[in-house]
Amino acid sequence: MALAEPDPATADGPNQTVDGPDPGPDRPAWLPRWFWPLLAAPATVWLVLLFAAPFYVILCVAFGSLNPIFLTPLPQYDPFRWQFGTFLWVVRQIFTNGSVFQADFGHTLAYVAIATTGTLMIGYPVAYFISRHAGRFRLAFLAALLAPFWISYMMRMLAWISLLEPDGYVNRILAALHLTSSPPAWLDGRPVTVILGLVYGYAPYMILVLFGALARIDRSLLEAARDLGLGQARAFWRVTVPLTRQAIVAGCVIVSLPMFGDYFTQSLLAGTRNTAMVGNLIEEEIQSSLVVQGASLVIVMLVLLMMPMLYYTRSTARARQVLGT
Amino acid sequence: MTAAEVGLPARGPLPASLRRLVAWLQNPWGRARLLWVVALGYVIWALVPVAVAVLFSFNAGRSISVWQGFSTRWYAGDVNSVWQNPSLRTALVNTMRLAGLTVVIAVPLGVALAIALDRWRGRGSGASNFLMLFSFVTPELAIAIALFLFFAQLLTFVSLGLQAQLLGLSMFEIAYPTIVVRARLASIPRDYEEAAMDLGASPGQALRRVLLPMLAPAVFASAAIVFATTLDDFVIAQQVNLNASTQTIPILIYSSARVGPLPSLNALASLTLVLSTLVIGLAVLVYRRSTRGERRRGEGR
Amino acid sequence: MREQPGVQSAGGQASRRQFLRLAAAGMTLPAAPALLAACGTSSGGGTQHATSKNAYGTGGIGGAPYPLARPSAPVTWNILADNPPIKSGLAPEKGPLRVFWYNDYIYKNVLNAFAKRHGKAVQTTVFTVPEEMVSKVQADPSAFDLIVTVTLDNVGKLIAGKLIQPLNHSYLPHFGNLWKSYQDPFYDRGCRYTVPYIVYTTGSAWRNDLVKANVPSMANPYDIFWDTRYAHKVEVLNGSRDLLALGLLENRVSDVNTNSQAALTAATTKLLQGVRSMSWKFNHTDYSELTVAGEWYVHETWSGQVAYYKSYLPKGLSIDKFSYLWPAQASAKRPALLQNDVFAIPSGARNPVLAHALIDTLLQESYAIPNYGYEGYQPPLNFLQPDRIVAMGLIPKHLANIIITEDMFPLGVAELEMAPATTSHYQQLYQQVTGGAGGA
Repeated sequence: MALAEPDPATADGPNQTVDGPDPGPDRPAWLPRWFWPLLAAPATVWLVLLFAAPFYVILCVAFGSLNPIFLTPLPQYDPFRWQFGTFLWVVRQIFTNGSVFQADFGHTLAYVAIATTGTLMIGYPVAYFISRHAGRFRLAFLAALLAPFWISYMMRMLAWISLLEPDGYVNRILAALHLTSSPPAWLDGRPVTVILGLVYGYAPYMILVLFGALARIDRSLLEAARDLGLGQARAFWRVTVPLTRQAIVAGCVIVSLPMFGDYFTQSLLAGTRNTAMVGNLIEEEIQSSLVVQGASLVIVMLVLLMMPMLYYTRSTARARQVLGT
Repeated sequence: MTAAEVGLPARGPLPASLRRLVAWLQNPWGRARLLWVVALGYVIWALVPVAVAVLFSFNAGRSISVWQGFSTRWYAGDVNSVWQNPSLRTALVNTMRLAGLTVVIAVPLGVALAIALDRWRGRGSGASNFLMLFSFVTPELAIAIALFLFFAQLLTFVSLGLQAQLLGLSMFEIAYPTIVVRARLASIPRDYEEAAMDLGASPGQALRRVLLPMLAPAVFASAAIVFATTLDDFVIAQQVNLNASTQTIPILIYSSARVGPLPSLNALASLTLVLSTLVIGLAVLVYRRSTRGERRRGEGR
Repeated sequence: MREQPGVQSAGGQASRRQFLRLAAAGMTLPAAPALLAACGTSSGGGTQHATSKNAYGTGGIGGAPYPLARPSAPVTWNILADNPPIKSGLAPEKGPLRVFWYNDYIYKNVLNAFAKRHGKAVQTTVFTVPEEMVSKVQADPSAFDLIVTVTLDNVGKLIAGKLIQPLNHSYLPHFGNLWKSYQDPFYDRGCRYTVPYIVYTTGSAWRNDLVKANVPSMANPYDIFWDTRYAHKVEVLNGSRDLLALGLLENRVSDVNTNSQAALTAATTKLLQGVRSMSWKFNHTDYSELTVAGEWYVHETWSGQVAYYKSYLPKGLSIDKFSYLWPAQASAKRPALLQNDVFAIPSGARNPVLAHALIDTLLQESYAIPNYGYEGYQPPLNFLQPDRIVAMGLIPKHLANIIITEDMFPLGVAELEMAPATTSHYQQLYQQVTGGAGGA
């Protein structure tokens, strides 16, 4: 295993020559200084051009104006001429009772919170099982766990639409079990359906993260707990869960970040105003004369999610450090 | 085992069958039966709907929710089948083309970045690394909107449709090969390249003839992952889409799923499912076969 | 921003308009505009009538850099020096003819017949909403040769932006087949830039076996969309103009181009109440959601959509379970939408002669009738009378009320071009009501 990552800031001191003997541990003497950066350059340029630059354009559209006849956006590329009127209006609207912005944000926060909790409730037992009790079926379960990652999300949603149709199997099973007198119309705009769809869609991510952490728990810790007299349940709550606390947080972040931008699950499974999410709002505005508002909403969303995003990025980088790569 | 024997408090009128079930679950000698039920239940819940969707692609009637008999008409034969309906065929072709081209661009870029990040200790590596990771964690909708405005407002010479989709996705997918290959690089010490360079190889030769062959399984695996995820990408593909002639399968499914969907949609989705499974299965096989030696050597379970 | 009243029109026009305004005063529709030519009967009612001079055209009302056409303020568009029509007597270009259309808006067989007759190919590109069409044509006016179609609320901006070219009627010998009123419409006097393609009404379609209400005799036929007995089973049209129009018309405001804050606020409140209590879905895919159990019981729709139903009926559902009502034909005779779409030729078209030829083809009987049979949307052509349409089996008898005749015009209102700020305002209100769920 390689050494712990040296501090990048000091690796290349100011006194190094380009092709001379290199005292640092990071590259052999004959390797030119520009070799690794050159290798990284194409991807970095690609990312700067197609990831960073487009976000600058979003800023320019959000702080720009509209063509007066066609109501198409006129992005303002000079930061000193940016106008924040619409952006601030959008932010104020989010806190205004009864506004559609507040409503959609409300739905989104509620659905994401409930669905994330749902994936945790479902995911933890499954991950625990696969890591501890699956025995010789472990590989089979892992394959089943990973399958949704390459099965098209659209196909999985299409599958649920067919099952949830008024004459679909879900209602037929419910009727056969006499659990309900009149089977509900699942697809006509119910938050329950949207939340179930989100849980279904993103549960595999949570399970994978939890499994990774649970599989790495040193069995000797649990044996020690048992030796000390803790029953199975208490060993679980006082040893296993705290050891996976960071994974739980990471899993929640990994699952809730994409859920925030999700608009297609709601569109497919419900499609009414009462269940609309922020993503729906943004998507509709971008194609209309409200594009400046849409761009502003994207910025608000990113600002809101900046902390989780940075946390996720840092924890991934730090994990790599801990692993010594 | 009765309820009393396992310490279940004597409760009132639990139906006998339910009491037996609870007793069975709580059996302290049984191996985590409740967890078995939960895990199996999850697997069924996760996969059975997909199986049903595949099943309905063989429906004899026009419904996607009521079984009306077996038929392959939606694959070929019906005027709306995948084979005969031009918009379904176009979507299939578009999707494959987009996925293939994305792999061709994203994988080399990602692999190069992975090697560089792993070996580079300079000042810029943190920034490149951060940029790559950030592109991975940002919600796809934000990226898609940014790309749409970018191409519609600034880089107008790039046409929406295949060009914009390719550029956007090839950027979005860079993170996968980078992460996968980098994980693999962690277990490849630098000794091999250094030995090669000691023996007179140039850095480029060392990379090409020593390191890359060792990375080949990981590269292949990441190519499979990029292919499978691009086949399935919806948000970016839709936002920079032009119209029906450039739409991909996820876009087609999305726009048709609530508008009188026919089983031909299921057929299309099933075809991509088979393709993804084959690609991923192949990658897993290749990966396990090439790293078989290492596993035998030291990492056995 | 109130629309500014313009200059009084000249001579005989004013007296005829005044006369008709007095006559109209007795009607229950105090502001019922009509889509008729000035030499026909232009019933007025609007308080604005203008022939203000403007670089782009004469007539219309103010509020935008170009005139906004209203039935009471028709517009004659100028032919501008830097956007002239093509010369007469030119030979057809070599093609291919590039048509920019709503998907499948012309019968494929008709397009193929046209292609064969002229020996040129036809290519089509699809757009889904008017905004998309405007932005694509703006991006490149030479990308297409014919737009099928433009809605009336976009004609002015396309002309002012020099994105469409004036037509040369020498290439349109069958122009006389159009209804007289459409040969000289208020929104484009003399049809200088546009030719009407189809005319349609907006009303309600419902399952007469599942809906107990007697819709045609309701005091306010729009109330059916708010009837909580059918909550979760009612779907309305998406699109900012159509949805806001529904709210305005429900509240008895017949000016669906108003920017009166009071009227719009009341309409939005009513619509929000409907969203909450009825859980509407917003779409125009009613024809594809026909199920025996009834995925929807009531659907706001266009007359042409109803003609599609018979091709999408599932087994066990017959067409006579469906009824349609245009609210202006209900016993309450409420103002309701009656509109048309038009052809236009982009200013940079490379095959304008072919484009004219295709327009002319669709004005001819031998092509227009099969086209109508497939499209379901009615062209305003003289040889298509209601009896003939029913006799040909194109429309079932009990749905014959989707057929439009010239005498329906006085009852109809249309969504017309508004000042850009008003357009944006409507979109804002639309978003407030749909919350983003009103996407196409």
